[in-house]
Amino acid sequence: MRVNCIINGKNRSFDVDASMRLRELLELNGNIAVRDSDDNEGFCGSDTVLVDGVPVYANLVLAGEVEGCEIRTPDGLADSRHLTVIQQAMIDAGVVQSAYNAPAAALLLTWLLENNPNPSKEEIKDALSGIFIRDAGYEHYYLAVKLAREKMESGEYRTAPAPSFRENLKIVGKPASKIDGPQLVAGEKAFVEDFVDPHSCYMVVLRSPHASAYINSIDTSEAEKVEGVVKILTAYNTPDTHYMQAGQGNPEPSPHDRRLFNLKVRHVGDRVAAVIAETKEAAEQARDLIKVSYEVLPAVFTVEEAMAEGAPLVHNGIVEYRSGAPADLDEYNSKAGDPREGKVIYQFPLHADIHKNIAASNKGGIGDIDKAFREADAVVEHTYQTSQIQHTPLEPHVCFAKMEAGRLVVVASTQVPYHVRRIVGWVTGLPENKIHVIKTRVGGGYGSKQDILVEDLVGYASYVTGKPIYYRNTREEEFIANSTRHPMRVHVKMSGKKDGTITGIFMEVCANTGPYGNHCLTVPMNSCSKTLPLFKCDNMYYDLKVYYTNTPPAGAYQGYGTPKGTYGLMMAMAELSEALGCDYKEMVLKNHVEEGYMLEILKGLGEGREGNVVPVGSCGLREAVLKGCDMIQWGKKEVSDDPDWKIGKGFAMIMQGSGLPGLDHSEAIAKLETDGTVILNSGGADLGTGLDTISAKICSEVLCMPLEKITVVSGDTDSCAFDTGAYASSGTFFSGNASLEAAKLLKSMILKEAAFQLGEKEEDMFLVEPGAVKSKATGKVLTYAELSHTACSGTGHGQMIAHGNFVTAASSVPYGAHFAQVAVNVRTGEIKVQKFYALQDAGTPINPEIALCQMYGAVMKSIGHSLYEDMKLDKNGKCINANMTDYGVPMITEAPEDFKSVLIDVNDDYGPFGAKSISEIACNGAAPAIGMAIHDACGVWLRDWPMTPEKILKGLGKI
Amino acid sequence: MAEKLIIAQSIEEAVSLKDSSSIFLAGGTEVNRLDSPCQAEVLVSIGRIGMDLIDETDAEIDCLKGKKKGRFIRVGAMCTFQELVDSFSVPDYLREACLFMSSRTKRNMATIGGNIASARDDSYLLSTLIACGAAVELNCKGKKHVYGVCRYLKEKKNYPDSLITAVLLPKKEMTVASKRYANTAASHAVMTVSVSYSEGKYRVGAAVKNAGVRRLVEVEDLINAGPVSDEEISKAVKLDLTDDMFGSAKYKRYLLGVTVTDLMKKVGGKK
Repeated sequence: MRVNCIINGKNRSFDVDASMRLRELLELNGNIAVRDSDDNEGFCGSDTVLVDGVPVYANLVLAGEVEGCEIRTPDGLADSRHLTVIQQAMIDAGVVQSAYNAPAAALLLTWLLENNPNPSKEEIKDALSGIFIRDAGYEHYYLAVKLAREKMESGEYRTAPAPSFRENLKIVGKPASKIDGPQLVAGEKAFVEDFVDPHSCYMVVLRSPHASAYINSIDTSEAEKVEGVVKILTAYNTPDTHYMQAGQGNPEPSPHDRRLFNLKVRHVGDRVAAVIAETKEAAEQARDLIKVSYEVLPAVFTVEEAMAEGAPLVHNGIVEYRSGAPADLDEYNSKAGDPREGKVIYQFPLHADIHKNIAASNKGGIGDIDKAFREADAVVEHTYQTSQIQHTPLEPHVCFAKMEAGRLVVVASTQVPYHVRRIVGWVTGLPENKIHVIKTRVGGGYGSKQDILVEDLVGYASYVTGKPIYYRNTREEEFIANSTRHPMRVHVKMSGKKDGTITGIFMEVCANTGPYGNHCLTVPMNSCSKTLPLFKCDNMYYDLKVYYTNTPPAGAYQGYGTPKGTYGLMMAMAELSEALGCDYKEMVLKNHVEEGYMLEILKGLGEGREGNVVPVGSCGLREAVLKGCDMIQWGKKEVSDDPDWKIGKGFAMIMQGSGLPGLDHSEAIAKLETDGTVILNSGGADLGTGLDTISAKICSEVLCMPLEKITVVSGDTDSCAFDTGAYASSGTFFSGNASLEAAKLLKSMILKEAAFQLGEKEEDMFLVEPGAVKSKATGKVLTYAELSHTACSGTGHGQMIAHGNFVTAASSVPYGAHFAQVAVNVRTGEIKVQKFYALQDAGTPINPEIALCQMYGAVMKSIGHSLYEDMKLDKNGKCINANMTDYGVPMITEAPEDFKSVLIDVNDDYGPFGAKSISEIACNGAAPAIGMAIHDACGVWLRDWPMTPEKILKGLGKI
Repeated sequence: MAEKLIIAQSIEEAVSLKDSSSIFLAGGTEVNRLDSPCQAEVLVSIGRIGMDLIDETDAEIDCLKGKKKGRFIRVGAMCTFQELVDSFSVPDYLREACLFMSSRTKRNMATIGGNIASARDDSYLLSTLIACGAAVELNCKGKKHVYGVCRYLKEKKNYPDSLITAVLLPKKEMTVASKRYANTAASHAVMTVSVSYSEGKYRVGAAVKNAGVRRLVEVEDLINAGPVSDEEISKAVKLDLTDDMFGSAKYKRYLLGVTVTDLMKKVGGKK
């Protein structure tokens, strides 16, 4: 049928079929900012457009229905060089981060202000009620509206978007527009889907319906007859190469326990075959024609089932070691099962035992824990259980790969471009110089894009077919075939004295890694290594075991294992304070570490090796606790007017790291161009968190030049130098420090060259704004443009190129405290988070407005994990809520009524300009703070996630 | 996947086009959503046929137990949730029920008629409409019927080609209160319970996930007879409650009891 409509003021006419969605029509029209992140669920709002002036979800409107309608799309608001006031205000407020939904949010706020120039907070909330924001939270959207209104009214902002830090610095520590903000908020090409070549092939994956089964045979004969099918990949025609998908430093502390396709499927959703075809429809049709014969096996889904005597084994093949093989390995392997089990290959011992479903283990500690418990005035012992959580990035896992001039080009949404290159190299057999990984903007990662979950298959498929191939997970596949947060059982025993001194802590952690061992050792280790060092306690012991099961896979998730460990440890501490009759706040103040305290506990808590025993460095923990207690009026009992609603308060200490000292590695190359501008090639992978802006600001600060004269190229393995990637909170600290090293080296090269060109002494040279060298001796000034032009003139010394390389053994640990005030309805069990205050020491926050939004976003995620989110499996291991609506992510409606993020001002010795990490730590506090507040409100300890109304009612003995 | 989309220009045309191979397409939030059970070869779009006025009318409605006459607020079936939220012509209780749909963007699309026709057990509106004694105006192949919502839900399958053209809300002295429970505001509801009080009687509607949508006559009999406890109400509920991912049967039963009690307090009436 023919449809005539007006799109962004222009008459358009299309032939559409009955099932075409408005979003698809707009995509055809070039309106790429109208995106899809929920497969037509009508939930996320990435597809928001205005039809005749009313916001609607374009995926839920058929194209044939818009005859005669006027349609406005996000990309119709403005281009990146001419942003609207609202778009600019969003960037300045810090909410444009991974930004998959930022254009749609800009459209909604535009609509709101056009129809209501002076909206209340409730009206802004209502306007944004249909859009899911996972990265930056919602709080600064209110600020963005305020800023926009101020600009519209008076031509300037009257409100500072964020506090400023470090008076002695010009741009570091000050709010400044995120450098990729205009491109993102305007809805221009940014994500993998925007760079797919026309006429590329499409790939779909056939997935296992069984949680555990051997594959007897795969018949693809009928599928191959479908017109347009290019290739079908299965275990029978792909390499027998064992690897793993975790993007970790090489050699990885994760077992190589999978191939591209296995002959044993280990979870519902596991790969069985991939179909590459000229169209998506042909690929799907062919997929449905593949016949697979399975030998279904018994499965295990919990650590309790996995550890039971005689439990079905998830892996029962041959075990190999790249190093450190035990002497009895042959005997161990004599018990291996069916050849279809495949292999498990360890890079080094992880203290695993696949015959007991143990993927990894570790234990250790300091002091005499038994004595501490014997001599204590009180001992508490409880088990805390966390659930399986999905990252739900708005942009699902996606990849485009093609062969170009004999090389494999992989366009990826990844946190780890160099690990992608290495692992794609393993799978294809190609050397690294034959693989070019291009990281685009990342539409949400949160750790899930630290894993190479699709690039391995798409890269291989493109290599063997020679075809350009596009693949994108459905939302259901995000749940069933991706990584998730490890469910953990954290058993804590804690002892103390009547004066509030904690004398002993024992943590037993049992983690569920699912069918494969991505991050299986390090995530659970984080539950101890990023929690126990909060305490000045001489007797601490940990014992952790990680089990294989047949659930959907687990992997890295923002915060890694720390949110779970923090939940257990802080809840136990609150329970101990109750048992001892101590005030919890006083107990915290008595037992937390301070600067200089030697952290002996870290000795056994390295990432698969001996850890560094270091003293506590810069630490804003005490200030965060004291300030937060004042803010929330700790000790004051709040009373509701409604007797059914009881109010309580809780708080938790938190910590994280800033990368992995001794393991992480970052490099950057700064080049002075011939006109005096700078291009900084950073190995770092900005996943929306503002890392490129950090690198640019560092360069700007060091080189005394404006931000707009610096361009950052990052995440491109051809043009940039090696970086381990953006994970473990390493971005600012490692990649930022590499940029700092490069900038400092470039500065010294500039000074030296200027001295040469001016015929003066180098020690007389200094940099001046805006990008020039001045002589103290003569007062002469040489601009960077003049300097570089001469250097590159044919008789000069050549282009100034500085290479910065950063590795360190130093730890820069961010600290903080999170506070919650919660209301609990003791008749219905309903829970409301009334107040949440997040106070964190991030050293020098280089991008303060972005840092605050990362805190809001991470807290919202962890409120979700604590109260709502939970992947539910049926008895056969199938996830029964693999969609956004049933899974339960928090939206603006769930945001606390009073929500504040506060940056504690602490300068760090090792971070670039004193900066530490910001985002991951913010995932750690909500669960214990809310759990304690619930207990304070109604007397019930909820020791498992999610903390639901039904559990409250059970705790109260009402059901 | 639909093979044909027809944009009807009038009620008559829409009704004439409807047969076993087609379904009506209203706001699109149900028919066009992921994994919708509403699939057909032909979609008959009713977005252009009006049915979006709000006025008053006298009517006689066919209920499960006989006919009732009265004055009604007549809400066009294509009124969107947001139009109802913004309207001064509809009672507060309907506005409040429409706000159970937390997404403003979705409220701009979803229609009152579509929500009733989809008859979901997590319906935003049905428990409220049952409690207030609402009726639906149907056009069944040109023949008009006015059925009480309960009768419509019970006999819906008997007139599959009928089009809901309007919803009738009793215009009389009445207080109605509803309560929705869901994991998050945007999640499917575990239950929505509504209680009305009018002319000395309570009336109760409930939509409970995986248990159905209906008037809780057994509860009405109990609470209209005299003071009762939460537990007595819980026990009286005859819904077939199950343990599922939304909660245990025990939880749901308990919640029904306390919620009916709380809503009774809210709507006033007998002590």
